[in-house]
Amino acid sequence: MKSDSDTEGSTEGDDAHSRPATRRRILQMGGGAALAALLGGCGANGSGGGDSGSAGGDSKILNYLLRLEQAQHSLYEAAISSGRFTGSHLELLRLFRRQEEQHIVHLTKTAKGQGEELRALPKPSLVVTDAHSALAQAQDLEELVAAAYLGQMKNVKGRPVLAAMLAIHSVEARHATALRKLRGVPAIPDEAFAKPATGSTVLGSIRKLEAA
Amino acid sequence: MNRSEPTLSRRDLVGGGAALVGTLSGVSLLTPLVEAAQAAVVGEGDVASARFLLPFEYLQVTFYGRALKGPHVGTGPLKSLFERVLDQERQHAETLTKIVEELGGEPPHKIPYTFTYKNRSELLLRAESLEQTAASAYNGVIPLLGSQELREKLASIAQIEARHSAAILMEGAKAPAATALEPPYRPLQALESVEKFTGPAIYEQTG
Repeated sequence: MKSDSDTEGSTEGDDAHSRPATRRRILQMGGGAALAALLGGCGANGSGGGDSGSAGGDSKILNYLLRLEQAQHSLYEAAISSGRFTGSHLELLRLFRRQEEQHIVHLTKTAKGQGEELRALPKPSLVVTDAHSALAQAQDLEELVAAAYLGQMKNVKGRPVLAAMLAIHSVEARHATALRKLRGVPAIPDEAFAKPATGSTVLGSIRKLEAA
Repeated sequence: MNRSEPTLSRRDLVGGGAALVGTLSGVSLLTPLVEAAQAAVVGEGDVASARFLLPFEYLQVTFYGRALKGPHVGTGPLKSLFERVLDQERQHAETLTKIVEELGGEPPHKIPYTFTYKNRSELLLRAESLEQTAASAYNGVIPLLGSQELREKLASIAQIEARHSAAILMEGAKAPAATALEPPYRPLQALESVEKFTGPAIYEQTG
């Protein structure tokens, strides 16, 4: 998950770039593949330079992060509506869904405030087969998203965008910690320093989620 | 360290200049005026920012070290959690010390800390407070950094502090994330929130 070259994210997403991720195609592909298409389509990577076409130059990063947030929100929505969770677990999932919604709103407001250009986001449709795998998938996604935010910290240009990312980044890590605990995994990972992930690493991990 | 002599002491900032920070921060955290006011508390340059954060790591190392020697941690999951957290806080302190020294600075001296708790519940409250302060202090200082590499490094610590905070909150049967957005603490706000453990010496320690 260490930082790769800045161009790898674009390479990973070439196919998705060439075929726009329409809602229909995403629904046909199903869960993990849909996520991969969405993330590939946004192509966030190392420098974030080159294609922003926006006032602050952070639109590429913001689009990338918004899509990750959308994926998280969709997963929680699927888990909650599956009827496989009750009690405190259900309450926690509802809390996380609500917070992911707030992340989407905050990123969107920040982008608009900075004159950044956002793309319309297709919403992935995910299926939850059982509670155990849903929690595992949610934890993996939270870990991944926390690493994805960290991976963009040194690329972001605007201070307000950086502040928004920091505020969300910590909360994604909190979500991951809670899910680890729910699953009986040590709540705190071994490493004292969180590891960043590039766009290409995020895509690779999404593929693993799909395979699982 | 190439730091100019401050014209106001830390205590002065609390009483007078701090009012400026507080007032302006209420409007927006990131306006140039607020940034200037924050820099007045933290000091100039990346070395000052790294140096400012080091006492928060000292505090945590001392807190967990003492807690593990006391009676309220027990022998179960809380002990394991505190042991892991202590090990990570030590690593954070060592790394920050190295960063400060590599940037030509001198790590702050250590001061006495006082932690009072009568039972497990109070112990957890103190831990919650320290971890929340640390996570929010990092989030408040990182936007002041000039170095992008240092920004990522300190954010990698901030993330772990947030994880500690969540784990400790859950030990106390509380929600791991009270809000959707981690609040950044203004530098002075971070100092104020640990003053109960340090007394006024914290304002000189970070100066």
